[in-house]
Amino acid sequence: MKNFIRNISALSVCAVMLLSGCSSALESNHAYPEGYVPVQPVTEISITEDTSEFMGNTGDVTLEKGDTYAVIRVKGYGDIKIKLFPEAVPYAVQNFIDLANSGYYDGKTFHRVISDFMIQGASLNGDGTGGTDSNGGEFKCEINTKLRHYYGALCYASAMGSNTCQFYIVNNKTSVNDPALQYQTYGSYYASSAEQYTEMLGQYEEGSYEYDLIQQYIRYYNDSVAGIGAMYNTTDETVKAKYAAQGGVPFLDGGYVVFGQTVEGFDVIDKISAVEVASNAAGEASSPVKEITIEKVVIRIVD
Amino acid sequence: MKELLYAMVGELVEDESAIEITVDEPKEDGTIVYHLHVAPNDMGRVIGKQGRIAKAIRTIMRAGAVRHSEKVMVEID
Repeated sequence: MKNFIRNISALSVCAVMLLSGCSSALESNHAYPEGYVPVQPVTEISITEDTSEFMGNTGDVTLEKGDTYAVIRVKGYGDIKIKLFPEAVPYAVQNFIDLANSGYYDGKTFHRVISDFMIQGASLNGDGTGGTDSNGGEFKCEINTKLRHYYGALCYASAMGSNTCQFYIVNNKTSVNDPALQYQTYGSYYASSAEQYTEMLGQYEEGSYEYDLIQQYIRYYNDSVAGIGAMYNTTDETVKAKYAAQGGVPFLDGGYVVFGQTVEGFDVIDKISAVEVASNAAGEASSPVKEITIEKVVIRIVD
Repeated sequence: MKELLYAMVGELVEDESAIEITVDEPKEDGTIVYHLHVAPNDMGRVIGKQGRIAKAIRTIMRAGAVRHSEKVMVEID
């Protein structure tokens, strides 16, 4: 097995690094290439309405020379091979690679399995709680409109728009006919929520706990409006055709970071999705009766 | 209050068994946040056109909370 760079953003600096010996640096598994400057965590939501030729996972997803991919080894189920999109969502991918290479994902579990929706895992405590990003903190959403929640998409789980280490994979393969309608429904919900909380704000004393909490909600909902609005604005026939052919969960678009797309191992996703689940602490029927363990996440580049 | 929320949402959704309401520990000023989860296919029904249903749910919950001298918030997630 070839060693791979710790940090995928090395790809984007590779052109620069060519002058100073990029190739030898790539042999190092746990160090950045010499002179490599890591991408800084995303501290404000970043939304790209991408009109370039880049197709993300909206086009056909194949692995070509130089592409980066992750292999998620699930004990007893098999490997899920996922193409990553460092150019489109650099911090999200860098974080995943850093966590994978640090061994963080070894032995973590899929703790939340919901058929026709998604399978979620890799929380620190195995129950959806705990953990940080690779810098010990959290980061805000990096949204690119060519990356959407089609069947097989790899995404970050998030709380109020903050992401760390937990991820999920979309498992709904039922054809979706009208993603734009979902964007409208959710977009108007987010907008009305922001409006409602803004109205409420005046009733509370500035600096009080509730006042701060409401402000967080307003910000979160405004971010969500912007994210899903960008998705709505860029929903064309290609997007509609992809959702119709492949299935997915459009209403998550714009609110959660999509950073990879499954290319092999859809059967593994389906097998995990079909396991028996029991109620979790909150009463949601999503907790696998038998533990589903991630042996390892391996990062590779196509030679 | 949880029962009130459950009763309202139960009338709206198709899959009543998927309704899940979690309640955060009260915040330091007594605010209680209710988190409502429903089946993905029922989200549209709970939110309503232009978010009107969600807004109404929050309004009713806040009105009910006054009677119980509580401060509540409802998040659909």
